[in-house]
Amino acid sequence: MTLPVQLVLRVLLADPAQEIYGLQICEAAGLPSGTIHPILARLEGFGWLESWWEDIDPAEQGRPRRRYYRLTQAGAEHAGHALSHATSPLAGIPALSPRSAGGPA
Amino acid sequence: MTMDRGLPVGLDLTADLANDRALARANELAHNLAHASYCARDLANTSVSTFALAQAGASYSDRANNRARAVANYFDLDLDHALVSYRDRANELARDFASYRARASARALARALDRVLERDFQRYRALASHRDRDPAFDRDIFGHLEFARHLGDDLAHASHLARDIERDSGLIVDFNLNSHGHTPASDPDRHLELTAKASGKRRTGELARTPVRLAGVAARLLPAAARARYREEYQGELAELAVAGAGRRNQFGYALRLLTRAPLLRAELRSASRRRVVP
Repeated sequence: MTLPVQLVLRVLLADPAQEIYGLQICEAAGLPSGTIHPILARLEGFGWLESWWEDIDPAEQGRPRRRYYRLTQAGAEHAGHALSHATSPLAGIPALSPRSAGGPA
Repeated sequence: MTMDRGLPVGLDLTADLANDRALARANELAHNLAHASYCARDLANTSVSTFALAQAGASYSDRANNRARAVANYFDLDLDHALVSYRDRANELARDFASYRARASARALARALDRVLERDFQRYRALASHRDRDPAFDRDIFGHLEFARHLGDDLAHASHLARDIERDSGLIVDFNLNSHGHTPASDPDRHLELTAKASGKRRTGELARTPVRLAGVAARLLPAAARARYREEYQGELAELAVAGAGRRNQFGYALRLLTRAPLLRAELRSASRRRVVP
């Protein structure tokens, strides 16, 4: 499993029930644009991830709809298992979340 | 009797002194303008191969633009039309500077684009080799990257031309309005608008057209079934970026990365599609 995939999975696993859109995943994982879409497409193809359009009227809100992503139940289990067996240096990092990015509280 | 005659004479003298000072100030400004013009032409004749030199040119351009405007305004308000040739010269000089700066930015943009494409191309080659893919995959990636590179060059060129036109037209409007007295220096909002237009600066928080088009091209590289979805998703992300205050350059970088990684996304989507077809 590559490092970017691990980063994306860690972001999604931080709160598996939370719906999150592409730009948020980019920012939380610290990955550049364009990197996450192939990863998300792969995970979606495996059935680990589900996605749907935000239910809003773009004209009313004044912005386009967002595409939200969330791990499926099976996906969350598989992702947790895969991350625990990951061999990249990221496995040694205890936490990669926005909270830990700012240093100790 | 002496005092009665002395007052008008004193006023005349004061007026003469004021005129002399105005003339001296005008001469000083004209001298400065001529010096700026000399420096600019000297700079333009020098080699423009490095970006540092281009930045120096941009700095010169700003100073010369401001000086040229000051001279033009001053002439409009205080001196007769015999000095209009100086304003025309200032106008011409400002256009030359704007064009010079536009060329420098376009060159930097094209270099950045080339660096990104080259790096991604190397990455894709490494990926293809690592996964021991079919050589056709590598050729496919190469073809798309070549296409993206040409597209990037064309876009950089188009962007360059658009900036030239925008800046030139802004400067011409600025100077024309000043010359007819319709834009007094005391109208700060109008002056700011014209200055921003002339200097090519855009407000942040606006969704720029070129990144949206690039995102559209990135979506066109994907399988037909996924194009509409990703086009809307990309445009949504660019809109979010713009709302968050990202400038035109950031939006362009974001869209460019979407474009350079579109072949990888296409490969993933095709694999996922094959997995769904084959039980």
